[in-house]
Amino acid sequence: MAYSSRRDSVQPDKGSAAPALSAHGVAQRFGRHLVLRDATFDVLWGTATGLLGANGAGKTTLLRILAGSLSPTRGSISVGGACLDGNPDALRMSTALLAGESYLYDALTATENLRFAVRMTGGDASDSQIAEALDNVGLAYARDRRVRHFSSGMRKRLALARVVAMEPPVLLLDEPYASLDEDATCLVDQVVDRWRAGGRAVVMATHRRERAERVCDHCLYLVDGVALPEYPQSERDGPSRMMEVAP
Amino acid sequence: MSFTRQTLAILEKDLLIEARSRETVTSMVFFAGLVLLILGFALGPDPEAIRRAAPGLLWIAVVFTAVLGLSRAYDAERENRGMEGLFQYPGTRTAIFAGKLIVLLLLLLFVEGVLFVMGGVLYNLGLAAVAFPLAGVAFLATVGLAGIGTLYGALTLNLRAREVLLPLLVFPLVVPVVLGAVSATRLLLFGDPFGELGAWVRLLAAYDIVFTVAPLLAFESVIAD
Repeated sequence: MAYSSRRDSVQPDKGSAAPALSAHGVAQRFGRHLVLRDATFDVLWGTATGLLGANGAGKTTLLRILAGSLSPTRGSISVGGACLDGNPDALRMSTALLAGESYLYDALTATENLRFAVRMTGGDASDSQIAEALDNVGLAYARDRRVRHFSSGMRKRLALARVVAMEPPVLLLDEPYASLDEDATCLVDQVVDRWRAGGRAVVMATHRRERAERVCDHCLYLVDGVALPEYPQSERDGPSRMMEVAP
Repeated sequence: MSFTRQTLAILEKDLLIEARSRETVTSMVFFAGLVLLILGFALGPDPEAIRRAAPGLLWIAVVFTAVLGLSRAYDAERENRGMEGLFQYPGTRTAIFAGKLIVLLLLLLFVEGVLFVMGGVLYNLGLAAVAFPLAGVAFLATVGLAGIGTLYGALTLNLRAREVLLPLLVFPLVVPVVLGAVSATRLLLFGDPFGELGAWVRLLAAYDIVFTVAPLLAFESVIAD
């Protein structure tokens, strides 16, 4: 499905030397808690990157920073080689986040929720495109049903359809397998494959290490606020927690 | 991203949600009617006393009712953390303000229309004769109320004591609107021998400019992160 959205965003370029997304020295502090200390990594076009770590390791925080909805305390994010310091809007233009919360409106139907999301990203979607998007996540039968009456799994499917419909060059998925049955779990994998095959990029935070290592091209492990390329031995003995810092 | 397009999308979405539930409009209309009745009872059986006080009574009812609407303006964004979702669309933060402002403005104007008709009947006011200029005054006053309400509604969105804090923050700021609207309504109803009406209308217009343009410009930074 091709929407006329994201016209002004960075375009995927698999042949480019510039990575799709780069984080350099990203740190985030909430009060006394230093959640991220130094997250430095590249995400290449046409790849999927898994983001693993214990509860409270900072996966969601990092994704929110990458989505442009949270400004990092320190460090910088680049998209397509362009540093976006002080320009979160450019970051929001290039990414879409499937978060823990669905961001759906209970009083609207599935179709209306998708149409709203597409319009907000500057696109247009015909009835048939919306119907196809819902069909892709197995919700064609519930297209005119209000979200209020959806189960948590249906909400998750619709939230997935929402971010897919926004057609972002970089797709950010936060615990995409939560609340999903086996069929829907495969849907997530298909979306990741589609994004990768289209030369775009995916960053996926999950607790399901084996699945992430199977679905993604490579994984990053958040330990003590640092993004590591290898699964650390220390994590097998006991996961790290948020760091307390002096006020 | 087009500011106008996003503003219209938010406007359409909120009106659709309200049209489905009618919760806000219904509660505001009933509340306004009750306030008018209670104020009428409080002033006793003297019809002339009620008529003289009517401009003040009408606008007290409008402001109380408006606060009820303000506190509900962001209800749709509280469920499923919709506001966070809105923040993730590119270029939308000022469009959020503009969309919410127009929705609130339309709701308040509708409720004021009903409230003025009820007030006209209950207090025996000849509002029909001054309907058009009164509508102009009401529009100017409502833009100011909606502007300040939209801004503070967003600021208090995630506060636990939101319903208590919102009136405490909004009431002091809308005093110029109440003053201007009550005075202009009084002059329209009972005559304007000294030509004061223009000054009150200018006050309302100036307030509107300050409390719609300034929040529009500052909204992005005010609600950042």
